Amino acid sequence: MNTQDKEYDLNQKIELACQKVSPLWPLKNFVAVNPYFGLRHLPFGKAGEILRKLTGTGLFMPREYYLEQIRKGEISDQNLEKALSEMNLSRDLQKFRQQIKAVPEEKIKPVSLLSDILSELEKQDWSGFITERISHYCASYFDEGQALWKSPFAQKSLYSGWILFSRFDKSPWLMGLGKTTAWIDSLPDHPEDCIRWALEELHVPPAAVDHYLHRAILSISGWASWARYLGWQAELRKEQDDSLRSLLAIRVAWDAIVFKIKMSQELAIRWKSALEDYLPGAPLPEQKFEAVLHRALELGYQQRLTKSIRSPKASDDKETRPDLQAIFCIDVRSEIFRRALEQVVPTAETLGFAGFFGVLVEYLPFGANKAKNHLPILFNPSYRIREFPEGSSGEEVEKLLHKRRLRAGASDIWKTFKTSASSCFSFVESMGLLSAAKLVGNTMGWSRPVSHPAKKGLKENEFKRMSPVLGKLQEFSDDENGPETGIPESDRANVAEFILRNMGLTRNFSPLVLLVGHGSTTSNNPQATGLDCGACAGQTGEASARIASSLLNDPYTRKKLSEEKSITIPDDTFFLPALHDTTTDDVTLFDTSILPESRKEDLVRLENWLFQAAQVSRLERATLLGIKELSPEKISEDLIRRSRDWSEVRPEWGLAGNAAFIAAPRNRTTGVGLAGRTFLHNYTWRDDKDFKTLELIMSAPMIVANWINMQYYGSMVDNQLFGSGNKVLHNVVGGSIGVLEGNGGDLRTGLAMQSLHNGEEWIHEPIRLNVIIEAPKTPIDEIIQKHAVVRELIENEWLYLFNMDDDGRIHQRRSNGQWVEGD
Amino acid sequence: MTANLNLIISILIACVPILILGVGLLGSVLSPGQTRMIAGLSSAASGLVFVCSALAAILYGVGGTPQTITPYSYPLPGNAGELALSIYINPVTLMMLSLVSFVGFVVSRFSKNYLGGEENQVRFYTWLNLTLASILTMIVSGNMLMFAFGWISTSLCLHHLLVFYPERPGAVLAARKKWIISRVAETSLLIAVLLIGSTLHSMQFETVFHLMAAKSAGLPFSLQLASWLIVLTAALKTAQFPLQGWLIQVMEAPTPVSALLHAGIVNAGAFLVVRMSPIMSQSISASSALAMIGLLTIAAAGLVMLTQTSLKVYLAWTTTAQMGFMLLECGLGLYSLAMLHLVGHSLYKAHAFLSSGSGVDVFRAPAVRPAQSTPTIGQWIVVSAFAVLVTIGIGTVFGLTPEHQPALLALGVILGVAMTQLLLGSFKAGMGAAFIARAAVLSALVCTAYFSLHAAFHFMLATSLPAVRLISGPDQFVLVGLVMMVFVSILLIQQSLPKWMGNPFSRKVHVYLYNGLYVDIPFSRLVSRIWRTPAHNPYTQAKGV
Repeated sequence: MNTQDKEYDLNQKIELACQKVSPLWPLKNFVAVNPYFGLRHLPFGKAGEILRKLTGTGLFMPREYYLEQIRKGEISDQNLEKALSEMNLSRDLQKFRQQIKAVPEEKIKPVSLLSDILSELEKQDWSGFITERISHYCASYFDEGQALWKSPFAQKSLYSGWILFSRFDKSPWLMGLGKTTAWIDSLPDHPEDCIRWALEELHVPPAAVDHYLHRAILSISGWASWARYLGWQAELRKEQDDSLRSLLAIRVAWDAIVFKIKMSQELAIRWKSALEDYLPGAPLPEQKFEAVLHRALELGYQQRLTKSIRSPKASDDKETRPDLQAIFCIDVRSEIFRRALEQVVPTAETLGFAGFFGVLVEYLPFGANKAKNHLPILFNPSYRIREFPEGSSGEEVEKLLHKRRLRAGASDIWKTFKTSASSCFSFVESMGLLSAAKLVGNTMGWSRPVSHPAKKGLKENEFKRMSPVLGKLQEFSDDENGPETGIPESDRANVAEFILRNMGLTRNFSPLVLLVGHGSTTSNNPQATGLDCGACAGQTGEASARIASSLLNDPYTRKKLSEEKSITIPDDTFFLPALHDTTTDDVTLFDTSILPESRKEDLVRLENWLFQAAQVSRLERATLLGIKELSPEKISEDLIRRSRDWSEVRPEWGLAGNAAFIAAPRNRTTGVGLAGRTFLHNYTWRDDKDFKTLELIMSAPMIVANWINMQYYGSMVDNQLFGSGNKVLHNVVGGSIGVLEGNGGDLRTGLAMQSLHNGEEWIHEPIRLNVIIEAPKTPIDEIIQKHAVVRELIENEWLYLFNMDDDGRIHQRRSNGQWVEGD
Repeated sequence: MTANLNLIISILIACVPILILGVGLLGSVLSPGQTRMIAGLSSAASGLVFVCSALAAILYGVGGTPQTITPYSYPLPGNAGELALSIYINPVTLMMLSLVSFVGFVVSRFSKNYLGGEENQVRFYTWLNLTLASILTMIVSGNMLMFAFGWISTSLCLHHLLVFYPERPGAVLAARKKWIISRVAETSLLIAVLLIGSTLHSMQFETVFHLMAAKSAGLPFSLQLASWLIVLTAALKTAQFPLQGWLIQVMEAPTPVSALLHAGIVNAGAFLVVRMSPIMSQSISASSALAMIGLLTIAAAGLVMLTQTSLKVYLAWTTTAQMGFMLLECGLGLYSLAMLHLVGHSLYKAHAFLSSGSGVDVFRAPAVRPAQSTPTIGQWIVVSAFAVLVTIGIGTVFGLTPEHQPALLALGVILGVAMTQLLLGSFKAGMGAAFIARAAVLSALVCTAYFSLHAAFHFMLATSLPAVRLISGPDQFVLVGLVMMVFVSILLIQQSLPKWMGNPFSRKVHVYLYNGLYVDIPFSRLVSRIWRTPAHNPYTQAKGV
């Protein structure tokens, strides 16, 4: 009975440790992830202290950063005082200022794994060796296409594969750990049993197990994140994947084995005392000063933000019909462009909505046998949409399909010819000289090292004909197992209603409605997809915008919408899909052929507007890019250069600077310079009868924004653990799994320094997301009660939540659930 | 006319290292803030240098003649040759000069934005330029001692680029390994040069070339010894198995450093052998040893690279293998082919490293590729027979007959194996015979390109290289046989072992290969024992295989 209890207990503890890891999406769809998502059940402050204890770095920047902000005036006296009083500290600023200069920042030595203690004792980096061994094995086990000769263990579980791998691994023996192989061979068959064995060997007291396992998984946190991703994907398929447990077992087994092999009295004594740090009673390292400084920094931004949007703007007057409505992704980069467009076209109205435009689809590229998700990762796709060449006969399609396969097959053969041991030498002698042309072309920016992924096997004109198809296309379904493609007619009115209601666009449609997705254009950038649309799982928003437009232009859908849903779209209203290139600010229109001949002038006018808005937007971005002294033409040229330059490590600033999420009607923020730091979601609570839309906003886009915000946050405060270091050392591993920095070490997650820092100063500012929702408090409270994740993020202060009332007054919801009026 | 032309060429050539050296020295006095200036200046200078080199090469093509221009010479005591400031104008020089200055230009230009915002960009450019100036000096050098000094200086300057991030323990470890290997190689090179000087009473490449051409009897012991030392130097410099570790681990330096190293510097070993070919071609045993070292490296690194999972480490292993192949060709006396390989590989590898960020794009592309299918034994036989026939057929059209050059037989087999590989790849599900036929046409084109380039390089370099050594005696046939065997085995292993996932032997081989056959760990430990590597924070550890 007793042992069974213990067993149950341990399994739960293992599960807890695994849940603390955040997933890492592969580079081919590099989704922004909150690295602290697994710690959301803890208050922000406590989580920081635990992290600091376990890794040496908590949730604040070094003291010097804040002192710099004081010097720059970013942290004001007033906010310091406010922060001090919030934390019940003396409001004596004079004294505080002296203290932060006189009392140095405490350097914390993280709690030690056994291998850390051994490393200290022997002055040899055993922890690094273990990380390296595990990382090396994982890279091979998980490899998705780099090696021509795949790991023979990939069909086993990560854990049992490791045991087999270790039989032949001579590295420990060569490092003087001869008995390792025998020990590993004698390990139990299941990871849970292995962990139990290791904990016993290491004499870890039950109370210390939680922190110890957490520390162990953090020491290989990159691969752990990858394993967590695999588990996440498996869960979506209603399957299980125990790679993460395996990985944890491997790490603690290493600790136990080196303990056995290197056993000495000194080691045992040191380890015993180290274990005390893991006990729940052991003190947590406080960072009182940094906490105050950090809070003061956040208060400063909050004040500026709330001040700028508080004054109620002109009343919501929808009587006049706008010349143009443009719906953009909530992505912070859209804010600049929206403002520019409104400035250029005062009669235009812009709206913000997540860039998948409410269509929950996976997208099947032409001829592909695998679909790609084009929706936020928190959702499952409802439909599968096929990409297809427009206006082609069946025969032409078959031909093109064959051509695409042929070209892809040929490039495949060529790649093998180039890379395999039996032919690479002859390749170099017969074809190596051609690389000179590539070097010239790439250096001059005339060509990309690898042609654009979406265009693989297609010529430019063939690719241009491709578009998503709303219908079923039964005759070309060559994928037997996949679901039917297209959105069935019976569903269309519902889907369209879902889109329009959540966008808040149900009446007063303008003659042209633009759905603007976004994507970036960069070259030779392993993390390129991180700059694409986060709402579309690291894809561009093109397909989503085109699908939504085509649905909303569909006469049948409109008829049903009007009959059944009482949303009437005027006949002269056309939806047009577009793609905003966030690197160059150019906007490309698609499917313009839908416009009748008589409306071509509208199109010309629209293109002109977009061009002018792009100019304005580029000028604003020039400051951050450090090219503001250039003329407008030169700025455009430089941005185009950035989009093509294979040596550019800072093509654009992505979502750096993101700090707020505002769900309110646009007129609250019209004309306010928000500096590309806010996610703007259109929301009018009076139109939202049962607050379904509010619930959706708080449980999806707000969470996504929090993930993005925390990705930047984590990459900045602890780049070593939650960032991916220096781009110039990036070494892509496993095909498209992720990057290593340099030769090896752990897999890296998060953003590179070049995405946060321009070499002279930080471009991002690590502050938690400030969410402002214009809606009554009661429904907000109800939604918070209903969704555990939302509640945890808000009440544990992983983001700040404010509501705005009709008069523009702002209240903050405190962690205890109380609403307090802002100043 | 020719004299004038040669003068212009020599002036152009002389400008090349001097210009880069000037910018390098300027960099050392600039303040760290002047990054844009040094980056612009360096790219411009290296671009100009490439133009000079290319122009010199074109002028030489119009009507230049091989010549050594020696403005200054200091005779060594004991009639042991001379230290001279000397420029050797010949096709090999011009080819190498154009190549390295081109790669230098691309790397320099690339680093401008790539390393933008790096605190020490000025320092980077300073050492980049000094490294380039050193290697260019080595290339133009007509005197062996001057060559050796250029060689040493290259290595010393490169060291600063390898430890561009001195806080990275992995970078420091790799640089230390290279430090040891370089010093041994340099000592060996200097002794070889002194031996040659004292025996032939000249250290001028051109003089030695003519002296050796006139020689008919066997080599004296001193030259035999020198040739063995050259083999040692070349093998160390080109990161041959099992001392390849430092080359694999230099990923701890920024990508452009890897590109420069893998494309412009590591092949100095092969270049040395080509420069010394008048002596090497007469030292059968040393040449055979060189071929054997190359062959061993091809087998080891070639198979190791198949298992590697990170892009840059994979690329590094291919470099080691490709260097092995170059040495094999040198060892077989096929110097012009080795030069073709050197040029082709440099360009290919420079591009591969600089574009290593694009690897992901391949995986982002939609999954439209047809699945690979496994050919039957019968298809195997047909394919190999076809490949051999194509190779022999096209080779014959180009007038190559193995009876006169048995070494070519080995190369024919290598090419045949490659063609087989290409054709085996064309067995794809649902693509049918038409696809295989296309692959067959492709393979014929590749073969034609190969033989055309072979002929072109042979034509261009004929005057500056000794005639291809005729293979005589059973030893040489053993060597040729071994080469064939190794390549056929690689093909068979590559096609079969990865498929036997459950087979314990196959598993064992995979693990050994994946870990670089474990040869580097003892060396790492030795290095760590010589220099006590400082302990570091548990999260910054990085080591390669």
